[in-house]
Amino acid sequence: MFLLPNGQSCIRMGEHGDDAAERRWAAAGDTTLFGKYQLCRVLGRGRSGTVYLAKHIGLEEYRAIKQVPKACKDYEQFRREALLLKTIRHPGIPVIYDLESDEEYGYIVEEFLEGDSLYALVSDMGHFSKAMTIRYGIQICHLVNILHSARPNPILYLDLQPRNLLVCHDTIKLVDFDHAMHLEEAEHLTRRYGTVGFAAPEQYTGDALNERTDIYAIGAVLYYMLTGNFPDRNPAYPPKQIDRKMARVIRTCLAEKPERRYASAQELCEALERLMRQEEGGRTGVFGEKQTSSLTIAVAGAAPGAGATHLAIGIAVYLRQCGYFALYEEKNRSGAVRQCAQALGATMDSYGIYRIHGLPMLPDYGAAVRLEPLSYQAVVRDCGRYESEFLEQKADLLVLVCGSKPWEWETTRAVLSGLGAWPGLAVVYNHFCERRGEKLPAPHREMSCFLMPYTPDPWKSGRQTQAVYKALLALAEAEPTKGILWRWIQKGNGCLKNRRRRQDGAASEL
Amino acid sequence: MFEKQTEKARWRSFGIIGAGRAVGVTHLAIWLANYQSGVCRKRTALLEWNRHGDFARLAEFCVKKGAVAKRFSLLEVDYYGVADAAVLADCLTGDYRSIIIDYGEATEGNIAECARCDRGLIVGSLSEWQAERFWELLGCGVRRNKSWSYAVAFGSEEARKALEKEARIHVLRIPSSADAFAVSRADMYFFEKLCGE
Repeated sequence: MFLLPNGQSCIRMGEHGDDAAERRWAAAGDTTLFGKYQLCRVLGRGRSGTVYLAKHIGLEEYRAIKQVPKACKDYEQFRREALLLKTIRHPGIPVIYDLESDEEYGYIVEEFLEGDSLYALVSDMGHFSKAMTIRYGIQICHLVNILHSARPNPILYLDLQPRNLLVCHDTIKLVDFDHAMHLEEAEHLTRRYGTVGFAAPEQYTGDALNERTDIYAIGAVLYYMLTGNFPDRNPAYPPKQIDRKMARVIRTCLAEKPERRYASAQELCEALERLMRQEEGGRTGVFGEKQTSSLTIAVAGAAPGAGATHLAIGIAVYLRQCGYFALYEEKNRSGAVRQCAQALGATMDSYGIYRIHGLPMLPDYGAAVRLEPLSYQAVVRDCGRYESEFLEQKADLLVLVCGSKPWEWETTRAVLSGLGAWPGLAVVYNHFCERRGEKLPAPHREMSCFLMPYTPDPWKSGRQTQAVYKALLALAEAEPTKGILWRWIQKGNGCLKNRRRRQDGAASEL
Repeated sequence: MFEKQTEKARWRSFGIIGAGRAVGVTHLAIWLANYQSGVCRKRTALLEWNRHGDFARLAEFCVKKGAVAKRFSLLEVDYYGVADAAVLADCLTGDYRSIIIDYGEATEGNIAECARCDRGLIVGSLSEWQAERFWELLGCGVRRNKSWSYAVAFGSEEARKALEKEARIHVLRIPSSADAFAVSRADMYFFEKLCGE
């Protein structure tokens, strides 16, 4: 048995790696393979070979080319991988285009999947929320179920771990089928590979492998997504941050004895779907009923620096934490997304989107730019500084961010008095901190108003801030109500308290 | 904790010059201007520094029938037809962040002017009936100036590689573009290389 240290199984060079050839290929952007694939760069190196990004010259499409030396002990396994993959057709599994060879190497030409590995995403974000974990977990179960349902011979993946799962525009894709094999072959397997923390106990002991071996790995991946840590060998007591029902699912997956685990990926998937329904059952408005249609929220600031970008990012991150695929869309000329991407070294994907700390962010583009559209469940549009055109935005909710400091009141008052009554518009006083005797400029009585507590990092919001986001999103579906509804955030307990303003006239200040 | 401060110029100038007629200088200049404006979101000016009259025809077609505008705007790019030193001076002192100059066909006079731009680009064609002009231009000492970039839209891949090998220069392949007023994600990869980003 040969098990590698945590998470390193598919990163280091194999024992047959030809370094000179690697360097030559990596350096030469002009290297052309089989007269049609122009090599661009090395995507990754595995135990047995190297994966290159290549461009099909005729079709101008990108491909992933896996190169394995013929002298490699696992060369036959490599060929088997291609034959195995060609039998599976699923959007979450790469398509095999070609199997080629020359004197020294064999090559598999595969579909190029663009995205971040689950490992990279979790490393960047720390950990996922419960809702996100369940959503991704269900997708992983579907993929594994496809493999296990292959007939007449079910396929076992046997090395499910965060580096082999790519998140491509919020869809999970399974890559690197190095260790996948048919169930009947796995039963007689003597040399075994896996990743410490994700390999099932039977992979260490030499006991029979079956579908439940992959179920263990799914449980370990769920644990990793929720906590950001690799599971221990004895994860019978998951940490407190995992809620009771989720912990039970993970514990069942990670049972030492295979027969105590879920019998199939389908059964695990159903357990996760039940959890998801429970999660959504507690939600109102947009979270519950509108999940199939897309939601658009437009945000503008009453003045430059009021915090429209900050709030728009915060809402988009919150929506993602709730398990919804949300996009931040820049609709102003501030260049905030590009600056952010430049500062953090993020690169643009094929849809022109940057992914920053796990949040897809679409920068502002001119009319000449033609990009392939992508659909998201929710779009949070940052319209920058308030202009009268903002009110014409086609959105489920318009949010106007106003400064709450005394030196910002005059600007706020001017904007609010020019607005008049806009029932579909919510006013948010940013970075609010209550002081005795201070009275904020009041919007029209038919508009909802929120007080946003100081939130230093829009990617990490506290409970009070999340309560404001939740109330704002509930408004996106609610019918505009008569009379003004003030939501005060009570210091200390983080709950929202409603206070009806006196109805006897439009006083300009509270 | 703090990064080292570097002084950056307020604007960047691109000079595009052709090794012969009809090699695609104006098409590339308009395309680059749309990239700079639409993708990089820089305020962009495009100056016609030749007497071909392309911009006047463009203005008539796109802006207003019968109009012969010396300055007009299309998709957030400002076009200056038959520009001169005064127009250039205005652009340099204005609030443009990207200034692109279409020099048209290379002549003894304009090649030195083009070389003064922050990024000078020689566009050629490697079609059999046009390649000779490109070789002529390379033979007249242009190669000594290492700041030039080279690009071709037409001609075979073999001819491009042969040119790179013999002249010891890097020649970019300009991807096929039917519309100079449209920039796709694939085009952005090319412009990133072209602009040295």
